[in-house]
Amino acid sequence: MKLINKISLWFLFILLVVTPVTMTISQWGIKRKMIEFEVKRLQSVNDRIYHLLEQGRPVDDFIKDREIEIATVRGPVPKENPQVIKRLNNVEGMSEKEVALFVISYRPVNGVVYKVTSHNYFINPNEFFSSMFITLLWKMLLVSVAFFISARILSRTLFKPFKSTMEAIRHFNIRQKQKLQLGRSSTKEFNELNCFIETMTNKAMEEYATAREFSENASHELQTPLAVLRTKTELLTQTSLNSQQAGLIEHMQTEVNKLSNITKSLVLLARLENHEFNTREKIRFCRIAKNVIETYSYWADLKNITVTRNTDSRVFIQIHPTLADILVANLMRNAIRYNEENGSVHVELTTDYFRISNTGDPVTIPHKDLFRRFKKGSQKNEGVGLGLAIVKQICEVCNFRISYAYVEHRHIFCVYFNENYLSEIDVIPSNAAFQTVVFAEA
Amino acid sequence: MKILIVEDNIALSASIRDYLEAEHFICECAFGVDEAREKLSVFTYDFILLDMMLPDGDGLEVLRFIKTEKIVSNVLIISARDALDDKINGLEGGADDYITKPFHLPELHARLRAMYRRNSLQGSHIVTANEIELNTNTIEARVNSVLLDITPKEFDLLLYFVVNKDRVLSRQAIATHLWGDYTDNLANFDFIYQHIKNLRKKIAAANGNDYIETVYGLGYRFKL
Repeated sequence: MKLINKISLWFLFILLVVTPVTMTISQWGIKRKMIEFEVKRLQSVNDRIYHLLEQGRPVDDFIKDREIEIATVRGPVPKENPQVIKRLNNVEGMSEKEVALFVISYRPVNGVVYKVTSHNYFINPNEFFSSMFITLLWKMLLVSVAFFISARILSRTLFKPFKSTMEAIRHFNIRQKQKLQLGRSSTKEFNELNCFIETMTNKAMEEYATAREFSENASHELQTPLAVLRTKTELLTQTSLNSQQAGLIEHMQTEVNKLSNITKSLVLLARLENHEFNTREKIRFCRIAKNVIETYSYWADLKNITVTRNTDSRVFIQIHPTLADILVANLMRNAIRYNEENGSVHVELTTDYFRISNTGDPVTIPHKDLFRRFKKGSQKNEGVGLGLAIVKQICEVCNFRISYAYVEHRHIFCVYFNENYLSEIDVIPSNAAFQTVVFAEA
Repeated sequence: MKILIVEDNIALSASIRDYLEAEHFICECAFGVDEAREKLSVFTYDFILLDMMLPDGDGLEVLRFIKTEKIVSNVLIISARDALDDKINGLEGGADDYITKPFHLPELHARLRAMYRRNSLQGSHIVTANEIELNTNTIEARVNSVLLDITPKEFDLLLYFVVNKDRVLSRQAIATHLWGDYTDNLANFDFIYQHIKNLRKKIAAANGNDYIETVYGLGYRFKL
């Protein structure tokens, strides 16, 4: 719900509660004032009569058309003086009622206590209620309408800075070197918000730059000595060597190679964590899969592994092409490396998932450790144990999920593109005893 | 051919110089942007090997200098940065090729040769070694003028050998040259052996000499 609608509803609620209360109060006030005034008037009439009586002048002239009774009372003056009596009468031929107000005064005049009663009729103040109620409804309606309209007009100007801030945040990209610049508004809260967001994004950008710089420097600082080592051993191979020396050099070269691979993989992981790969384009995934599989077919042939492929060519996935390549290549490499002689690899691609399965012996480490860094299924292998960690990280960057299962002598890696699909699948069928599906956890 | 090596790491630049001098290149070394600019404004070079991170600036500055001074040289960037952006920046800045550290010296040499063929020998794309003749344009290999039926990978391998003749090439260097990043973490280099076996067979079938010799424990050498 929009903020302005929330405010409007709240206002309407207040209006609905407060207005009837104020109406009741004002009606009560009017009623009291009317009666008070009438009592005072009748009292003054009574006083006038007493005045005439005291002077011994005839009161008839004054009474004339007024409904005033004068009587004498025996005994003392009653304590309650003057007495006010109200009576509701029906007005003939009308549904409304009128109020008959009697004011009875007692006063001794020349030793005799006179009782003067004057009365008057007026409209019952409660009868005002209906007209006041209608006025009230009109008033509430007009106020509400005026409020809703003006609030909408006002909110457009009032919330303008807020909206522009939101827009700026939406377009903010930490990879761009441009700092977030937010305008100043006359509203204090928005200024505070803008300041806060600016400092926050600046800090994030600084940290991002540091992280990026670190991975760049680390890469440079590690790769250069490796390059020196590698070139020096290569120069050494050009000299005359005996077989023992040659063996030693080859060992060194293998280790330099491994180090270089680890460095590259770690830098790639760092860059993935920094979200340096970004693309809005959708690529034809099967094309990448096909290329990678073709590249690896040579290695597959060496182990006499059959590679079968069932890829849907209409699958478009939003992923950086380099990452797609690395993703498929790493999975493919694993499928060949941990395969057996005369084994098989099957690659499947649908709009919902990309699945690579291969024959091979079960892994010796817990399945959930497979995606962790430097965890290898088998120590005798030459891999550095970063391939699957990279796959997992790529999946995280692209909002995919990856699972591993070992079923019926096959390793099955499945990358799910579609979160909805994942919730309704039966990942691996059959043989519950061997069914261990592991998802890479963040 | 004259080469300017712009690299701040003395050990690395010495290695490159040693290797390339053995290939009869004339090498000069510069260790910073200013020194490189100085040398470039006085001498002419056929190739420039350019490191991107230099103590007194960025390799891109040297690239800009080459462009503004209209210096005709082939530029090969050597960099530790392998991000796609860096490669694009370098190539758009006027470099001809890009190689990431740590590289193999034979690979560097092969790239220099390839650049030379591309840019300097207009029309002529023939590389020869005795009876072996390689046309880098059509990717055709002939032995005694007989066309060999070889795959592009085998052609690449043979060219790599010919370019780096008389040098020991390690299995890793060959693998990296042929498959690049796909060889990372591969269990063994048996496939190199397979490839070379096939190549030998095909050359022998065309009555060619077997110039490829196995150097025990190290790799292979193409010996004329």
